[in-house]
Amino acid sequence: MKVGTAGKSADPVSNRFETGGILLGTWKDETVIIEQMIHISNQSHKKNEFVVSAENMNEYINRRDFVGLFHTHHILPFPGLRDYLTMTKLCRQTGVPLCLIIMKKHLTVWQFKPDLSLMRRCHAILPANYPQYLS
Amino acid sequence: MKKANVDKAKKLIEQKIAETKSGAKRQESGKKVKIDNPLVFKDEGWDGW
Repeated sequence: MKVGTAGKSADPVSNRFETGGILLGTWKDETVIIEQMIHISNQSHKKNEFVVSAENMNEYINRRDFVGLFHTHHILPFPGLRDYLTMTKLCRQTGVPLCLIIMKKHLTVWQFKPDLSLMRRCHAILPANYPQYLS
Repeated sequence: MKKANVDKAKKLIEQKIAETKSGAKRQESGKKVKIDNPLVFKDEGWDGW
């Protein structure tokens, strides 16, 4: 698994702020098969906020295997309003289904579709080496 | 409408759905997406929604 080179905000263990990144993989029916979870340096130092720079997004967004994003939560186990708005906008831009994985104590997987304003839970097959600190 | 046209339309719709599901649509169209602003995610509630 590729790990970002950021400072303390990329440290998944000691960092009290959110961390997250890009998901690469494929969709099989309504299940997302994650092949790679790439940590991205958090551009925000605010608590409970995860920001991905446009530069980082542009590096991955046009890849055929780009399937979504993940980030950690400390309060709620589901997407917040900002999460929802960001993902629905991104989904409309790309024109393909995307998923958002929220990692708290347990992870939840949420699917967004370009032709729907709804999000719904879906299944994910994770790589064998997905971050153990989240299990 | 002729049955052949209906069948053709159904086939086309099914094909488009399959392409969207597999993520092939974007590559086929060759359309590049450009993100201009940072993406913000927040661990927050839905108060005021």
